[in-house]
Amino acid sequence: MNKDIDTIQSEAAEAINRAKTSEEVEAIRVRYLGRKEGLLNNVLKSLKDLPLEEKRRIGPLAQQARKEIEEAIDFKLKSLVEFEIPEEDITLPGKRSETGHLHPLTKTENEILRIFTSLNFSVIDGPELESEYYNFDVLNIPADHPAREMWDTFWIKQDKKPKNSKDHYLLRTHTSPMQVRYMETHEPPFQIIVPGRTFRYEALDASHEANFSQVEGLMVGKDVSFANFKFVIEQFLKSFFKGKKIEFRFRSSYFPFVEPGVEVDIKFKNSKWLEVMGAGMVHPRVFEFAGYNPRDWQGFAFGCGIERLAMIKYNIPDIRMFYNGDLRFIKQF
Amino acid sequence: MKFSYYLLKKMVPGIPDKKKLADVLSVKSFEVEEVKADAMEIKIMPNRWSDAASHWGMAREAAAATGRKLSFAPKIIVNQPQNKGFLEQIKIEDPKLCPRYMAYYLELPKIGQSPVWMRKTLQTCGLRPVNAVVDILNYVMIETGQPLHAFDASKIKGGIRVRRAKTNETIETIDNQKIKLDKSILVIADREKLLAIAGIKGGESSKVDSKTKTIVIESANFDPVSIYRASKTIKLATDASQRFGHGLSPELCKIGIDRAIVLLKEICKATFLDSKDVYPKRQPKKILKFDEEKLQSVLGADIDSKTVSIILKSLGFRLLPKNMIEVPALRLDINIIEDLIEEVGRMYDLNKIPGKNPAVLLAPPEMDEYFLAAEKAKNSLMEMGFSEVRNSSFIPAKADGDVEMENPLSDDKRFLRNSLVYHLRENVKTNHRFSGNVRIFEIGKVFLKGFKEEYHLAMAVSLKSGDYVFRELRGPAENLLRSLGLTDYAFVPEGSKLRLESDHEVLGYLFPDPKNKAAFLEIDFDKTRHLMEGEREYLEISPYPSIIRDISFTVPASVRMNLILEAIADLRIENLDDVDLIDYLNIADDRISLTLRLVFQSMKKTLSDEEANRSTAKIADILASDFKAEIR
Repeated sequence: MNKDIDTIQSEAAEAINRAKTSEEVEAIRVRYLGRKEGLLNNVLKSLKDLPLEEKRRIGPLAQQARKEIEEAIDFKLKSLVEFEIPEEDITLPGKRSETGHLHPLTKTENEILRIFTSLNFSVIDGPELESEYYNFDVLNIPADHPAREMWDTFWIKQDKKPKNSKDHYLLRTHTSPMQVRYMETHEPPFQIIVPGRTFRYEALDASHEANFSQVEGLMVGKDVSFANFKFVIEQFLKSFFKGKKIEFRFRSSYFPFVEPGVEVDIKFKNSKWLEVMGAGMVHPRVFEFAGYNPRDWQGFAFGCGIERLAMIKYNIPDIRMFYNGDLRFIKQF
Repeated sequence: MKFSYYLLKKMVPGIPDKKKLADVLSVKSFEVEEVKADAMEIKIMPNRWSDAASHWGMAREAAAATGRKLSFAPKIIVNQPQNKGFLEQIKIEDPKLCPRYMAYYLELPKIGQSPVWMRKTLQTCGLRPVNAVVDILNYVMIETGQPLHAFDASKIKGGIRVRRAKTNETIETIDNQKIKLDKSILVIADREKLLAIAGIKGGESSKVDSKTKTIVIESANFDPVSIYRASKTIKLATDASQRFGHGLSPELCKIGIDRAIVLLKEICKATFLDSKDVYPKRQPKKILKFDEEKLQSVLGADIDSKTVSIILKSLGFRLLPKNMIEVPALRLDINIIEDLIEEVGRMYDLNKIPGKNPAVLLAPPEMDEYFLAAEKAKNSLMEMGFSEVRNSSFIPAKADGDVEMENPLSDDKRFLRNSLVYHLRENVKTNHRFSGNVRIFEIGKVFLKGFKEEYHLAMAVSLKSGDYVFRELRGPAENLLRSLGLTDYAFVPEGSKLRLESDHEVLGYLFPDPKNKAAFLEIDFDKTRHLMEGEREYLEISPYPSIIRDISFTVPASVRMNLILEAIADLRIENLDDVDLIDYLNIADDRISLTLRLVFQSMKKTLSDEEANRSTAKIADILASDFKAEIR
């Protein structure tokens, strides 16, 4: 009986050693350890006819053999899984599926919209072909004043001489015309942003495009203050440049439609100051043009170049890249 | 505008070094754009030329911004010789255009060179030294802000007149340009001739030269709009025209001319013999009521009244009883309480004001429908492998737009785009050089006759092989329309194009461009999004299995697919759920091979094979009879 167990165990070890696939190993498991006809099981089954003394001696030996065979099988299976080569070459490079890409300015705009709507700002659209009236007059930028030279303007050719400045067309030089357009039809309190394309009569270079995009912001209420502006704009910029530590700088500046007027600069670790937007408290003249009583309302407005933000965020060196339709550029985003 | 740091430091002895001063001024006053050697390039805002476009004014800013004392004040002459008979009458035709005209008459032993320090300062500020008289006048201009001009007194015949030029009157300027004038332009003249273009440039006829023994110094004030326009009309901008164009205070006239006399006496040993001052309506004093509550409300910060007083005083404001504030005469930009608030805020330092969370009523923010639709469309197109481009709003003259620029940047930007396809086609061509297949789209404004603008959406597909490119466009186009919620639309052939219609409106066109192996779609995005349906509703799903039958056949190449599909639809076969073209091949010049996949499905029962076969046979019959199809 002893000999039987030894023989079975050495046969099993040899078979396991020879096996090439996990299927073969499984077959060995059935042959030696199977519950019904397994060879080792048969030995154990035959124990019941032996005297008690024999049972006591052989039983543990058979259990020991079973354990050792099982261990050998498990070890073999593990080694087989590691070396078994599937029919399909799973190391081939992945097949490239063609995907579309949103323009980096759209991504930037989406991000701006997401942040401002989460701050409870509504999103408004406005015309690109504007009148002199909304682009300049109502923003306290009178005709024949050198202040207008801050905005180099594309004028539209008109067959008939315009009757007045409402009838005199230009390409909006900023998104600010929507301030009065919106206020003419809405009552405060409100807070809005207006993203859109704007135009400047400028020769093209790395930082100037004849058409570019801006986002305008306007918040009006009973006591909306400059401190509120600081809060909102710092929240916005922190969220937009997530994960970067930003310093802010508010510089006194001049735009005829705000008073006081400021420019906002930001600075990252190891960078220099970067100008990101012009802003200020809405000028009482603008409220008057919109039909509000300036004693009743107060608010802030800001305007910010979207390309500028995108160039800072994605480290893009040249504004013209946004508008040349080169997919090698667009597909990076 | 260029400033000399050296001169500023002379006026405010305690100011910090250049770099530090530049930083402080940039935050509290004006952007300092460059600091090089002695020169500081400072950007004067258009509303501040009346007081700050001078070293004196800038020194006051620097003193206030850094908490130092301004030690310079130009000397005002009290008992000047007046109406002594050396100067003849001065007549101002329209005092609105010339609120003040001062003339001082001086005798000069000789006109030499100005001192080195003066020439150096002028050069720092970008002015070329000429001779002592010209240099002193220029120096006083950059020092006080008042433009001055000198005439040779012996060349003025019969008094000075400030009048409008006559039509076609011409003048030869000091630098020998001949300029034709018109009635809108103000001139300085004597009885016989023109002496100068008012506020812009002096004339040759009264020029100071080496023989000059007596001079008349002019210190005048002109209407800014008139000078601004005149300078544009004759296309001549000078230091003087820039300053007058921004608006100066008539009170500055005397400050400037008196300062010039001091220097002329000192440097040229001039004798001051006579003067005239025509100033019919004095500039009124401006007094504003200061409102501390308003200040706190606008800035959202508590700034104590002592700090407010210190700031206002340092900027030259006079504090009167009962919160009244007298505005310095040169501060033409200060007119309302908000202007005072700005002065306090910026000198206090806006950076010191802590941000405060605004209190707002919670209401869901609105979003203009355009942005919602555009986002949907863009995401849908992106998922189908299309990339977004953004192109210029301008197109060349040859592209034939509807709206033309009055002042185009160049001929290839003469019109505004009336279609997005022009640039999209260019995009296809350039991208072909770098990548095989091009799938792009753009959403943007186009500009149409009558100064109208619309949002359009355009797509382009271009394949290296060029085969069946039109289908590659139409499939995604239909997906796009469905994703926008447009359920009821039709493509109607119109010549070489397909017209997209919905609800009896034309939305746009699809068309092939064989030359570029491309196909384009352009639709009126505004119209399309207005036809969008609201939320989708659940449609019941059949619990019974569907049966699929593919039917392959060949037809003459002239057969158009839309007619086949219409014919099948006309059969009104019950339980025919979908017909899809799954294979299309040109097998010969004159025949094409097609495979249609028919899907049968009932809501009521499991369909039998016979039913499907019967229906398929019906379709095969109509294909054979109406389209000369050979079923394979």
